[in-house]
Amino acid sequence: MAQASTVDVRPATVSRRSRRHRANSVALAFAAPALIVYAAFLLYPAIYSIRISFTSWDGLSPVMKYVGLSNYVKMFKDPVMKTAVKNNVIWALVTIFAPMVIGFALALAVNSKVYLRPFIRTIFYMPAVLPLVGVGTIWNWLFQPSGVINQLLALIGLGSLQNAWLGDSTTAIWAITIPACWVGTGFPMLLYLAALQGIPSDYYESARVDGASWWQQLRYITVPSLSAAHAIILALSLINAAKVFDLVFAMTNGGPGNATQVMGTWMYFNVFQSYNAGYGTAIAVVITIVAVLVGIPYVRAQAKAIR
Amino acid sequence: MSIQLTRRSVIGSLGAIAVGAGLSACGSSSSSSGSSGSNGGGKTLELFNYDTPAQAALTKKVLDAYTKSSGVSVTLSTLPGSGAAIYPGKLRTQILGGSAPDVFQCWGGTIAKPFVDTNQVIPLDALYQKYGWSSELLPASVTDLSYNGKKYGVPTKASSVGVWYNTALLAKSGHGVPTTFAEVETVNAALVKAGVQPWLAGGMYGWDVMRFFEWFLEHTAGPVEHDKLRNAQTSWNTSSVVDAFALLQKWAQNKWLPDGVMALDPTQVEAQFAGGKGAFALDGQWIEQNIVAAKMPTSAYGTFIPPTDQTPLRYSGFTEGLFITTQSKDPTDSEALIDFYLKPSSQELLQNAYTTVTAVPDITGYPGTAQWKKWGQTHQHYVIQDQSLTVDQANSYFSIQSDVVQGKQTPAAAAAAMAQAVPISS
Repeated sequence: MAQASTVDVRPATVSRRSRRHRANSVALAFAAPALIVYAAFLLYPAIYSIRISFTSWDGLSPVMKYVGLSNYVKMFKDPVMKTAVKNNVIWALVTIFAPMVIGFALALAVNSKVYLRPFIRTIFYMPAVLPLVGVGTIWNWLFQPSGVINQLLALIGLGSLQNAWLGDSTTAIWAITIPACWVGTGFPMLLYLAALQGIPSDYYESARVDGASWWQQLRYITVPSLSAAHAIILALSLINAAKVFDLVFAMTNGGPGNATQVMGTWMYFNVFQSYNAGYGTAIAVVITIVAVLVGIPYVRAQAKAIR
Repeated sequence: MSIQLTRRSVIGSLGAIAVGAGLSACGSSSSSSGSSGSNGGGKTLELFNYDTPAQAALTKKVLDAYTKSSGVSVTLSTLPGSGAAIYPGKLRTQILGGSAPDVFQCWGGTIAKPFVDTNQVIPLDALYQKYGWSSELLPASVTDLSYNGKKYGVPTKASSVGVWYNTALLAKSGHGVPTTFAEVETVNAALVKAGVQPWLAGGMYGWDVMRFFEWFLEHTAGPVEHDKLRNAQTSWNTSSVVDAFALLQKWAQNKWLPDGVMALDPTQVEAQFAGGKGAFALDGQWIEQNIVAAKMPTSAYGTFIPPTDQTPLRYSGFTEGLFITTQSKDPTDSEALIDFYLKPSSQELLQNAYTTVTAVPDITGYPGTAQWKKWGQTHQHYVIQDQSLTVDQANSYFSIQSDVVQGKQTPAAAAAAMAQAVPISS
């Protein structure tokens, strides 16, 4: 009986294996075009870039001279790189938390029964769809010494605070983070709004019956229920902060001097202006590593959610 | 007959599409890799420059005339408004991609030098002899495009950085056109008193404010030492450099330069000057084109060489010209195109008011520019600082200059920092 049973099972196992194998082949075949494109336009350039980062290539010569890790060592001695890293950290801190807090507050506001709610949502989200170079140009005008911001300060009696915001090394990077927050608030607002609408109303009704205040409902129901949204926003904002380029380039070109250089702009200056393609590419590799590292928790959380 | 879609046929089709797409991509890349070659039976060259749309329209007229006379058509590619910040990068990308233009326009000095150092452009000494360009072009401009004793570029524009002034606003100072450096400072003080912004400048990219520093350095160091400094033949940690930085700081602190100058965009500032917003601008001849474009009368503006109190009286200048790439598939037609471009008739068609071609008569409507053409033949110029220093050195300078203007670095510390950034060449 046992023997008969073994004989019966074997073909079924083989057939299951063969089906799985065929399914894998089909899946691979379907994915192949995308994988080919991915390999050609992403993987190959990425590997090639890593190779360049170990050379002293000027970006023009036909010959690349290998210099080992010296481009990476140079970063530790480069004073502009130190400024750039410091600015990236400032950028990350400001442009992650301010848009998260403001976006959350706006989401709470527009989630309630407010008159003209769709219109208000659109208004708050609108900056997020504007091209960053255009945003940079507009805010550059606003921050000019004779611009609207200084005029407003004078108008409300704060004339003593007037400053050449973008022309002063101590204020320039902070000034650029303001339009970054302006642009970056719409996205968290939308995500929080979607997440808020997914919280069952029963929770709030029960809390109200138990006598919970608005603040207690916010603290013990709303905020914990939005943990997935917090994680997504935090991770995406961190990745964006590591890659920042457009606004800085458009508003100050890394200046005054090199006061507002971030890793992205310093990489660009080295690769495209200073003919230090090897060094610039090493900076690009570091940016990528940082972006990948900060993105890992997000990807893992997503994978976990799918499972 | 009907076609039945099965899983296999779908996969097969997708595979074929992928392979086909790959092959077609190869085909299109190889056909576009060379800009010169056969095109409907005729030859085609590519010229790459940074013409504005208005200038490009004039260039096209010249190229059409060349096509008529030679049968060779020319494609014009332009990258207007980017300045030396982006244009060389685009050019480099084209060269690396194997689709270099046959001829390109570029600034001289250290901006064109990388293309020379990496053998991306051909030496033109033989062509200078063949076409007799040496006798037709301003010698100083030819020198600006020469490297390692060889001529690599053909100069087409000689730009001079001088003082341009608004006559009505200068009159408010109660003074005439200053002839010494001290008089310039007296006028500055008088203008501030009269409520007029003395100078307009935009330091966003560094080079606009740099023009002031190099003027001051010519004043404090004199031509001989200034040239040694520019060529890294002597240390920058000297009293003349300290004095020049001190002047720059003083001009910023006294508000003779605009408030927040380091954040101002030079393009916007030039437009403000043309619109009558400041008394002086330290600019090239193109400012007169802005004045004309702003529909302001050129008679409302004047120009003079920045006084240095030194002999000879020199000013900052730079040269732009045409280069032939080593990738050009038709260097013979490329050289013929350049020769045609240099003809006085072509230069007139281009309305090239600051041409390097000596035989071209003054372009009407630009009196200040015509004056600079005369000064170009009687006065020397020194190569503008960001084209004398390497790109890295210029970037270091911009950073130091920014700190000096903001009062965050003393002139003495700035001079010491410059000595580190520009070490004496061995």
